[in-house]
Amino acid sequence: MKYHLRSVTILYLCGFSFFLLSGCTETAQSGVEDDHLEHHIPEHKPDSFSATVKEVDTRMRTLLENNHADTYQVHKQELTDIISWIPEMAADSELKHTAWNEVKQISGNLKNVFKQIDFEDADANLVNQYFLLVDKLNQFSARSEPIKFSDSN
Amino acid sequence: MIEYIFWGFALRFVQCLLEAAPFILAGLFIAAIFQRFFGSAETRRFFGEGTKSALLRAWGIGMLLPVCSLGVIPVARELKKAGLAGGTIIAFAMSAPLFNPLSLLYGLTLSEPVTILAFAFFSLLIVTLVGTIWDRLFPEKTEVPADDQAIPYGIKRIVSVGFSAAKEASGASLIYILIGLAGVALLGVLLPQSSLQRSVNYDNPYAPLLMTGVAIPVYATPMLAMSQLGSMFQHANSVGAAFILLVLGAGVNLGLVTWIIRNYNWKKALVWFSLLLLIIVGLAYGVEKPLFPTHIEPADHTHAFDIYCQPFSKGTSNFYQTTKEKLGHVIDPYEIYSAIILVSMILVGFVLRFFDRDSRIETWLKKTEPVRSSKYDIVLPGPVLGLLILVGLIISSGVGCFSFYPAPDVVCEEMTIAKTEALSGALSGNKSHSKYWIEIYDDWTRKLEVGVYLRKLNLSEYHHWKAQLLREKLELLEHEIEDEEHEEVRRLVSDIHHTHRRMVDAYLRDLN
Repeated sequence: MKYHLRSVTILYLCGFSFFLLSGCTETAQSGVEDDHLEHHIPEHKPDSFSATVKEVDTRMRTLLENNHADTYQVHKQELTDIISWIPEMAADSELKHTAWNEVKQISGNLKNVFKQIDFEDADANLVNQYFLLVDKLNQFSARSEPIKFSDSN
Repeated sequence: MIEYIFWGFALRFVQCLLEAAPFILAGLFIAAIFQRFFGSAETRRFFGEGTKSALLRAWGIGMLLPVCSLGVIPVARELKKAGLAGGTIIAFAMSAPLFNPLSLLYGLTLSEPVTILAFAFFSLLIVTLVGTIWDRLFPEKTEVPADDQAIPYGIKRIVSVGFSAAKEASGASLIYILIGLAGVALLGVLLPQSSLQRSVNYDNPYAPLLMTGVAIPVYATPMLAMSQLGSMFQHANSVGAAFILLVLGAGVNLGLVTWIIRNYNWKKALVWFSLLLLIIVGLAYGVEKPLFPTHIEPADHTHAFDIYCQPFSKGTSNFYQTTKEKLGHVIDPYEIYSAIILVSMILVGFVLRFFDRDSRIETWLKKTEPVRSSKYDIVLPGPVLGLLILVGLIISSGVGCFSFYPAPDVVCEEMTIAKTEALSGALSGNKSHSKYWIEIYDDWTRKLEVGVYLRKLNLSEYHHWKAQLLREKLELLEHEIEDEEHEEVRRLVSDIHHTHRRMVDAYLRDLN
């Protein structure tokens, strides 16, 4: 019995050390830095809700104009990301619950319309719908900003 | 070096003992209730022994009772004495520590509540599969033990519960509990500080396997396991590893494994363990992709396992003082009171064992008193009362949820204190102070969400986002403080201040 206990303990410790070593090896992401723990924030993530709406507008225009550029796929993916961040950015703003619900719904519609747009041969109707939705989002931009008090007051 | 080993072991041992104390107490009393109120025959009937529903019942009863993987040991021992089949006992022992009402509610604040429900379902799948295969492979002839420990009605029965619990506290259960605690304390000695921070990243294919190795000696209370899952989801770590942490970290410890080996021999224990690992690891790799939180940017680390590694950093000189400070930060008063009661019970148990070697007290307890019946004195059967006590225990843990997760106005008040301390600590560069309060602050944001969910039975996505955003910023702040990026700390402090204001406004205006 004692012999068994010892063997199993040794086997367990060996297995454990192996897992530990294999788990502690560098992974694709973790190998980049040694001691500095990172939270990756994508460079194309806007700072605020109004900046997000601006990006959704300008990036779409750029995509429509340069749909044959080498970086087209990268830019398209970045715009997809930005559209998906709209509810988060709206929640991180001064928008109240009802306004946020509206923004959430508009961003959902925007996502659907964006998915349907074929940039090789963009449907004007869909593109119009896209910019109409962006305009609707833009109406919330002013309300999303913090109220600034001037010094004179 | 010796000091690091000694104090590392001592700190982890005491910390886990204190955290486990309320659950061990609950386990001791639940075992005593099964023994004295139910008796062997009724316990078997309660668990549906010999029927097809036995495993499902064991899982259900286990999910509702407030015990941890150490507290379940006395209950499992009692079920074994009552003559329950091995598969049923193991199903109960493995499912009871995974969830309780408090931790299940806490789990709803994770990235996707569906994940926790999926984890609960998978735990049912595991215990049912392992239990069924076990019972098929090792069919046991289970018989009701001749020596039934149930006590007839009266004050003696109530006394007998305390008597049984004290005796069990100083008996074999104590040894298994000490083995379990030693396992997790030893881990704290063997693993270098922060060595597990990058081991369970989402892109590490070995993460679930590594977690399997670490989680067996790990001891985690249901609440701790749930908060660790929270941290893993917040960092978008490996979902498979998180699942294994819950099932093995919260469900199993070395004490429980030793008990199974001692009671069901090596061969059976090995089969059980192999089956368990096979199913758990298989499921872990299966859920890795479907349950991955896609809307979270993965971090390259987690802090969830820092508490299982060496607690002292290089250069620590006053170990006693540091140990005291670290314990003070993580231990709640109710855990200290529970530990005092537990230690007293162990001492009483030893005294009883020493002075009552002839079992005179046991004989006296079993002696039937003459029944004085009157019109209004209705004698309720022991199992009915036992069941009522267990239901009462479950209801009181449900009621406890309301005080553990207060209403938004109370939470916001507490949170303001935590915010002030955390942010002022961050601005003044007091790392340990701000880190301590950031954790409390973070915890209150989760309590805020659960408190609303409990009272309104619903939490809107908008309100979830408000709390989630604050947590994310607190996490960033913690790192910037660690890296001494003063400019970034100042920016984040201001940002958190606004996020906090908006969150409080949203919760108090809409939900109070």
